[in-house]
Order: sequence, then structure tokens, then C-alpha cells
Amino acid sequence: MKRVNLITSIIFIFIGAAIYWESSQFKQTMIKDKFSGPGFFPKLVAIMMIAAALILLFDSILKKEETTEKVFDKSIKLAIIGMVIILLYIISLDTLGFIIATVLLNYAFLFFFRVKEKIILLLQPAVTSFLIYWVFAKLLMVPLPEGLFFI
Amino acid sequence: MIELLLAGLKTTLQPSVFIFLISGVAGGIAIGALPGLTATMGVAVLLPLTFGMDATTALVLLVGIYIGAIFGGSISAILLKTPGTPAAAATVLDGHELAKRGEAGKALSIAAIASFTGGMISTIMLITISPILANFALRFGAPEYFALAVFGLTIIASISGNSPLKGLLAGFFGLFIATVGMDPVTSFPRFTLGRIELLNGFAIIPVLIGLFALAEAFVQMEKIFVEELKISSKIKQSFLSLKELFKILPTAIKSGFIGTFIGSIPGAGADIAAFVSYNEARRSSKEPEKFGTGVLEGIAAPEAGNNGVTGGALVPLLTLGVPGDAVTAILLGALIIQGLQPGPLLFQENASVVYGLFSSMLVGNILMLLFGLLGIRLFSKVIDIPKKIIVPIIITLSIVGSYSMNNSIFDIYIALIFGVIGYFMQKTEIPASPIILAIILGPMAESNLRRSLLMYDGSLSFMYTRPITAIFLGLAIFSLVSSYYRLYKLKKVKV
Repeated sequence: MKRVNLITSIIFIFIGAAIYWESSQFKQTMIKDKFSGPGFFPKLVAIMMIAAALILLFDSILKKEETTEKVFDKSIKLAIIGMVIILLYIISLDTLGFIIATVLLNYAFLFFFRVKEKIILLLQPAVTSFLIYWVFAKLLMVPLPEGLFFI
Repeated sequence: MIELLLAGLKTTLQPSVFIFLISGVAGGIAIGALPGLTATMGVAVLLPLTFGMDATTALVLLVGIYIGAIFGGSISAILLKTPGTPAAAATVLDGHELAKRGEAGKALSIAAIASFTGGMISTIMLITISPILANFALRFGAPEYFALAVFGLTIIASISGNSPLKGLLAGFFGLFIATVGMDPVTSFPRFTLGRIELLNGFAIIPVLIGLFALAEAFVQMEKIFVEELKISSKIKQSFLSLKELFKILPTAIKSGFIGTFIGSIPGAGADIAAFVSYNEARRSSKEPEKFGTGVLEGIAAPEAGNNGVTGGALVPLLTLGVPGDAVTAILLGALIIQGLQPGPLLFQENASVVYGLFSSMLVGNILMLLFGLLGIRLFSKVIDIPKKIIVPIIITLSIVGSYSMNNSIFDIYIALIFGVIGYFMQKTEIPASPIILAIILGPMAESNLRRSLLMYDGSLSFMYTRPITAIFLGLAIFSLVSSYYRLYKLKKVKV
């Protein structure tokens, strides 16, 4: 956890600095706010964020490592594969349309999770996709992406 | 007030509304019972379903899920030794011990009765206190709302788990997220990266779904190939005797009040209420050493405490527009989607919605008790549904939910980004709820601070010349200092 805290605090110091730098570029618009411009509050947040991150930084430098357990182990790969699958899904959504893309998404996850039961493979993607399509597109009238195939 | 409540009851019992209450409570219990699915996630993922409903029905469904899920967490806590929701973590201690002795049935019925007691107490408190508080809050001006938001923000930090610092960092990150979009006073576009979609800031639903549903799905994926626990002990029909009922009732009532109080503090939620109630029950018990070995009060206290939060958390939401916990933060989103602005005026302008909500909570708690006592075998079967099927369904629902708010694919990307952020936050033990509360309280703090500055001609004197403002700011400083003091003491003990 010590190293993680160290890295976390450095990331937050960078975020804070970026927020501060960006907000100092903000200009007043036609509507004048004479006491505090648009950059006032973000700057305040940035300063407080950097301060808190600095305390965490010193705290983690001074503290001894308590656990030997790793925060990130090999299983992080599994989560990253999941993120990539969803990213690919969103990219393909406009072309494939909601139903095809969603059926594929569910199959992708079932294969990824190594589900072998035929009944699940047969039913889960179809039922999930069509049920959700029916509720959102037909009941709630949400215009879900149709894709090039108009379904 | 009684007439309004009766009218609300009439609305709730209409078949078209009542069916949503039943499905909300039953669905909530199932969601809560599944380890990994929390009340917050359930409400966030199912919120988009309410877009087409009228305000009362939407709230009835969401509140039903809320009540049900907080109770449902106890089912897996008792049967699997894994809390279904963080709020049920304290229930594991005595609940599972009792189940190991073959008395799972008794443990589950205590959980149901205690949850009902806690839920009823907090609902009654909500009904009696909130109109008075709303009346009082009508006098609040910009400085008061600024101070209230600051108070809420400091509470977030002081209660976030083991590390208030990380809670603070999450809170500041949330405040930053809240500043994205047009500046509330001068309309200057801030941090929009030139995207039109971000001019109004991040849509809150995709952010919520990302942080609470997708992030959790990623965490579950890591463990997907780990063998899942199966329910070992069969649930025997061992009912509670009348004597035992009377033994737990005082604890349940006291914990219900504790839960209501904790719930009404902005930022403090059901998990904290459960632990505080458990500790208080142990402290005041004649045999504190027996806690942890399967004492009945050890189940009654956290369960009454965590369901006590449900009504309490709605008090600041409805009267001040400040959510009491992460779930009520989502309910705030639901109210705004329905075109209602939570706050003191809600009681005057939309009394029928408010009292519909109140009565549905009364009925919802009764339904929860019935399901809890009679349907426990059915609900405990839910736990056996494999994660491999549930995770893809959650992901699909999350995607559709974040899309359907604005019918925009951009929002799905937002949900994915916040899902990834939320995943890394969970791994590094940075709490996610401060972000959500900060996103809601941030704009409130900023615009009211700047409005106050304009009102007082640039002077900060409003901070000490207005009594209510001064009290809230004083409380804010106190909560920060006390949380550091507590941490300091903890560290000393450790060394």
C-alpha cells in the first residue's frame, strides 16, 4: 500500500497542478463577476487537492510498509480485458446497431468467463439483449442506435 | 398532514403504482442478497427505467429497491459470511455464527424484524421532522446554503473509512468534476476540451453508473475464476420465540434511532450506521463479551441501524436538497429528471409527490417484513446464480442506462472512463461516494459562495455575521478536526 499511496499522491499533485494552470487561463466573459471569476473556485479546489496530496505523500514516505500483499496482481489483466471489450463495443455500436452489438458483447463476456453450459450460451445473450431492447426501445421509447442494418 | 398522508397512501395502493413497489422491494432484496451488488448500484442501474414514469411511481420503485437492498445484504451476510452490501458487514459477526449453529432461519427472521423496526422508526421520524425542517430552511439564503454544502463536504472526508485523506482527495476530485462545463455565474466554458457535450458538465447518471456499477463489474471480473461459495447450511424453520422477540426489540428500537440520526447527516450512510449501532449495542449490553458468538442483539442492532438510514437520509434530501448518502444522491438525480427541485419548496409545490413517497416507505417496509419472513428460501436461492451470468447483464444495463439519459454514445464513453477510474480507486482504497456527493454539493457550494460575495460586496463577513452560516461552518471545522484527532488516536494505539 505504501507504494500505491506514493503514486496516488503524485498523480493527484499532477491533476491539481493541471487544474490550477488551466483555470488561470480562464477569462471573464461579457457577464462580469467582479469578486471572483470563473477560475476562482477551480483554483481553490486545485490548491486544496495539492495540499491533501502532499500530506499523503509525506505520510506514505514516513510510514513503514504494513502489508506484503500486492494491490495489483496478475488478475488485473482480467479487468483490463473487460474494459477493452466494452471499448470495442462502444466503437462498433454505431455501425452494428444495438441488438447485434449487444448480443456480441454478451457472447464476448461469456467466452471470456469460459462459460461452457450450452443452455446459458443459447439463452443469456439473446434474452438479455432483446428484453433490454424491448423495455428501452419499445416501452420507454429510447431511440437506441440502429446501425447500418436498421435493427 | 394526516389527510396528505392518507391521499399518499391511496396513490401508493393503486395497482399501477403498487406493483412497482412490490417489484422494487423484491428486486431490491435480490440485488442486496447478491454479494457485489449494492443498494447504490441497484438504484443507479435501474434509474433509467423510471424516465418514462410519473414522479411518484419513479420514486416508489427506487425507494422500494433502496429499502429492499439494504435488508437483502443481511441474507448473504448470514448464509455466506459475505456481506451482500457494505451495510451488512457488521451483520456477519453474529449472524453467521448463529447460522453455523443451524439457526440460520432464526437469524434471518431477526434481520427482517429488526430491519422493519429500523425502517419504520426512520420513516415516522422522516414524516414528522422533515416538514418542520423544510419550513425552517425556507429562510436559508445563499450564505446558509454555502455553509451547509461545506459542512456536507467535510463530513464526507471525516467519515470515509480508514483514510480521511483519501476521502478528501476523492472529494476534491469530485469538486473538480463538478466544475466542468459552463461557469454558473459568467457562463465561461471550463475544462470542456472543446466538446459541446461537456458544456453542461458531466451528465451525472453515466458518472454514477461508471463509478458504482461498471467499476464493481471490473472488480468482480478479477475474481471470476475463483470458486464461488455455496450455501452450506440448510435453512431450517427455526422461528423466533416471543420471549426472544421482546429481548431484541429495545436494541432494535434504539438502533433505529441511531440509524435515522446518522442517515440524516449528509455523507454518512448505512455502513457506518450499522457499525455504530453494533458497537453501541455491545457497549450497553450486560454481556458484551458474548458479541461475535451469535447473540441475537448482534444481528438486530446493525440491521435496524442500516435500515434506519433509509428514512434519515431522505430528511436532508427532501428538505435541503442535500443527499444524506450515495443512494439518496441518485434519488436527487431522479427527482431532477422528473423536473422537481428537492429543497424546502418541494413540500409546498409538490406535496402529493412527497407524501406519496412517505406512504410508500411505510408500505414498503411492511412488504419487506413479509418477504423477509415468508420468502426467505426463495431469496436465498438468488445467491446461487453464478457471477458469470450476472456480470454481463450488469454491463449491458449500465451501457443502456448511461446512453438513454441523453441518447448519446458519448455518455457511454463517460461511463466507461469513470468505470475505469472507479476500478483503480477501489483497488487503491479511495472511496467513491465522496465523488458523487461532491459533484452534487460542489455547484451548490460554488454558486452560493459567489452569490454571497456579490451580496456582501466582496466581503467575507457573512461567514460570521449570520448565525446559521456560522454554526454550519463551525460544525464543518469541528468535523474535520475531530476526524484527524480520531485518526491520531488510532495511530497511537497501533504503535
